[in-house]
Amino acid sequence: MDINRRDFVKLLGGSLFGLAVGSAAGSVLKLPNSAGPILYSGPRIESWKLTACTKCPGGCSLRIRLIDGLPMQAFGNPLSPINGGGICPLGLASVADLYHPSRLNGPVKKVNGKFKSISYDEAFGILSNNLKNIISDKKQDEVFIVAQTESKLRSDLFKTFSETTGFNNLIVDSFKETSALPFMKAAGEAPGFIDLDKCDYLLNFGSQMTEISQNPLYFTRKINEYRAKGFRITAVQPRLTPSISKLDDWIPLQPSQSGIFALGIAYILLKDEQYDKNFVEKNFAGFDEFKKFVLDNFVPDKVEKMIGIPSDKILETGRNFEKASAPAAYFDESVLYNSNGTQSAYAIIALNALKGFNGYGKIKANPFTADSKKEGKQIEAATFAKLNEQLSSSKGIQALIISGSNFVFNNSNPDALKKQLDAIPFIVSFSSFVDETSETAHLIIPDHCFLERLDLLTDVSIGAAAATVVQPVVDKPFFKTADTGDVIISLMKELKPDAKISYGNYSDYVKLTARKIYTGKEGILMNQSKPTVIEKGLKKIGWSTDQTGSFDDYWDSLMDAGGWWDPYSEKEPFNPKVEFKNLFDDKSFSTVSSLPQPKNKLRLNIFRKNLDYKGNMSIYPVLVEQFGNNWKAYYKLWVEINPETARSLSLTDRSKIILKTNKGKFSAFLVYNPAVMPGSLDVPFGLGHTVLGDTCGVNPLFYSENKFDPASGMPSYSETLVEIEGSQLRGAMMSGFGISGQKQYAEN
Amino acid sequence: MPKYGMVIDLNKCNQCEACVTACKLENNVQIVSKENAEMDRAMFWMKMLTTNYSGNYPDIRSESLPMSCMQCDEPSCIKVCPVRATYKRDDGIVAQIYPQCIGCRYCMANCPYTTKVFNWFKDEQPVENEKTYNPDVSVRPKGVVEKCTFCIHRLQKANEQAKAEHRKIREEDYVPACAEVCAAHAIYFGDLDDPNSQVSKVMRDYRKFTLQEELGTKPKVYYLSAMTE
Repeated sequence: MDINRRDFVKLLGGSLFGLAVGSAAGSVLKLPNSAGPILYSGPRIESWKLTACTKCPGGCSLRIRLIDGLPMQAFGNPLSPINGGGICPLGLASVADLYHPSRLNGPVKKVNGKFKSISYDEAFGILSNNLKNIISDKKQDEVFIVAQTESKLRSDLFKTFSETTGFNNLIVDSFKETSALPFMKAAGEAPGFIDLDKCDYLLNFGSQMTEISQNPLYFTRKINEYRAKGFRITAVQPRLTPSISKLDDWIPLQPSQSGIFALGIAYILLKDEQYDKNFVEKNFAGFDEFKKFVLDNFVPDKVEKMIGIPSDKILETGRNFEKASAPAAYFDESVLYNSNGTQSAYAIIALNALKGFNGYGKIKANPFTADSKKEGKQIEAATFAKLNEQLSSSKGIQALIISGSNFVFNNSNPDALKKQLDAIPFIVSFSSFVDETSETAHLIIPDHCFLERLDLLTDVSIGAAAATVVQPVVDKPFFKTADTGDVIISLMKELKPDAKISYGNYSDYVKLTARKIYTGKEGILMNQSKPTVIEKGLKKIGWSTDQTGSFDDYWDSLMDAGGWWDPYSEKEPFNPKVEFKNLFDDKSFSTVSSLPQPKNKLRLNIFRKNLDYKGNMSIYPVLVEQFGNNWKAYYKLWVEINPETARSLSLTDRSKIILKTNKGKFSAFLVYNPAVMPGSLDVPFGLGHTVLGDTCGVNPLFYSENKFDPASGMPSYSETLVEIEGSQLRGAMMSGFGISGQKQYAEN
Repeated sequence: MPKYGMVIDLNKCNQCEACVTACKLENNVQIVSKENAEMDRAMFWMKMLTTNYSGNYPDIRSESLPMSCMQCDEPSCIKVCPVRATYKRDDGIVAQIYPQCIGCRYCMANCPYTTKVFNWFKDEQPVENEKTYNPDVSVRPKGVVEKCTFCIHRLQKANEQAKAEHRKIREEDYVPACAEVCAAHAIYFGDLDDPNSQVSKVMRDYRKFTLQEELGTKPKVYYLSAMTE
């Protein structure tokens, strides 16, 4: 190509101009911060590390994708028997924990109402001195510990701490332990798992099994298998949740009426004499009184009048339950969100007892099972009910130790609770963030992010003994945070120097549990193939080669594998001795049966969105945006209403409304949902944070009646009546809304 | 040449929306501001759509399905693109060339499934999300249309890996994020032309259907209907 002088000058000029613009743009068009850690640094080497998710009780094994050593994404570990490669939205979003701008980067203490950074040594000194003074004053009874953890090892450590130091008021605010409360009182132990391999009829009282439960991802797969076998599920709950499939039977019922329905089913079994007489004779103390109580009070016709479910439906469900060989009446924490929650749970446990708990099981030789009787004593020692009681009594509380729990956000009366907390002389929190609860603390020693610490999740409810490894995926913690396990162990040693504690830190404590797997020589690492039945048989008679080597080698292999499980765990029946003496309070059932509902009021039914266990999803922007995606209700509270109810009130779809309860007014976005119980307004829990994460929306619990389950102290989710401002009534449609949903049910 | 497609078993899907989150995070899809979300500008390449409620209360059930770009064999979007920013590859994936897109949104208007989204603004992203951006996927500028690509960057990586190892790409080498994370194993993905691939096998199910079949767009995302009594 020929270039003449004129072209050359043009080209040169153009290039110079381009360079000038380019350099100017360079200063303007800077790379975004996001690109910093990825683009500025390193050769972009990809690596993967295994750890486990601690966001729910499930114990899913995760594969973390790292770029140049920085965690970027989380995926499920396909070799895990728990999640089988799956992962939930919460697990996917959880990597953001590490980089969250609201994370505390070291211990802080409150000075003149504001948090000020201090050193770890100073923080630990303040903590231990305060507790030492309480011990020397012999006021241990005036100390409460609230520990929210889904790690059994961690909760056991808190129990050991509680026993060693004499701070007996320990509340383990975990899904599993809360769900187990009624079992512990009525039976002294909780079942290991619901045996979906054996169970042939599942009567589910309110559990969102594949959304918010003991193991949502495991249940997702297992319930698909269960349904594929042709077995049915009857779901008794107020809301048509995604857990309810087209193949299931859905009986819409207010949660406070679950107990009455369960006893109505028990009536059928008792009347037909189709209960397990052998089990009842041996294990059901006070059976005759119970039988009389049920036969006198829960005739299906009477139950129909109480809760509106047609007697035919009660009879049909009862017959399904009695003809099944291994039925399970299932419930979890969700049933306790009512003023008669524990009563309802007792009724469901009694129903299971009538069939010998055949749908449940436990692991015969679980290396991780602790003494359940001891646990029962602990759990009975403290609940939120006791905390509430002591907060409002003149005795008061000297110190409150909070780990992980945001119970202020999960309370219907946060203002009063905060005032009571303000009166406590010393509150220490181990929260990684300043949230509604930890903002009341005098001292915060933030915990590591779960991607920075070590743990072993051993209570995974999959019908087999299993342990998933939580391990640091980064070289060292990002900030000056401290593993709460380490702090608790140091504190225990400081407060009780004479106590025999065989572990120096939390890592040693975890290794002690791992040693149980090592010495047990059962099961396989998650990356090993399942032994054949022949291999298993040979091992049983002593024909096996020990390939594990030393414990240190085994420990390294366990870390590489991401966990351990025993595919041939021996199951045994769950045969507890039950006693309901003085536990049934017929008053609580009679009061809920009437459920007065004035003409112009609707019932507020608070529901929990998929995987939002304690309203802590709001720290993840991606999940907050997704929260109302189904209704295109972004960053705001919405309420769902049955179109029939809405029309009777002249309320239009997708309109803004003002809701009025006894505690005040709040606005919401109204959407029609034909699956909502007539006379109810379904409203999601999780929005309306005031401190942490996205502060959009409203927390409906703050506008709810201050009703609590007296036994567990859990707030009621469905006993608030609400009025919609400006709505016009069309009289006739509104009459008797309390049971109109069921009336319509009967008509259908 | 393979022909990639997807089958979603609605009987297994329990609407957990992990596919929605995974897609959003894998492809660095922008989180829009509250104001833009209010104006229905939220961006999801994969969404969980409740299409209908069947039956009468209380014997009522919701009909929901995860929905992304249908990756049509006869895509109506490419026919209207004035700058050929959207095109169908030989392996059947309907791809998008972002630098070429002029933001006219004709393709969005012509897509019968309304699965394409438009970058109205470049909103400030939360720090924690920016730090976890997937480095394999470019962040799109404002003024362009975007959509599901069957996680095409994963195909590129799988191809490079296979080439380096002197072998052909295997079925398990290439799976989009939504299928990978599905705990219910409800999403199958693979070569529709390979009779031995898992996706081909499940496609033989009598429950198979596609959305708006009558339009002749020949979607390559198939559904297996949920079973009813």
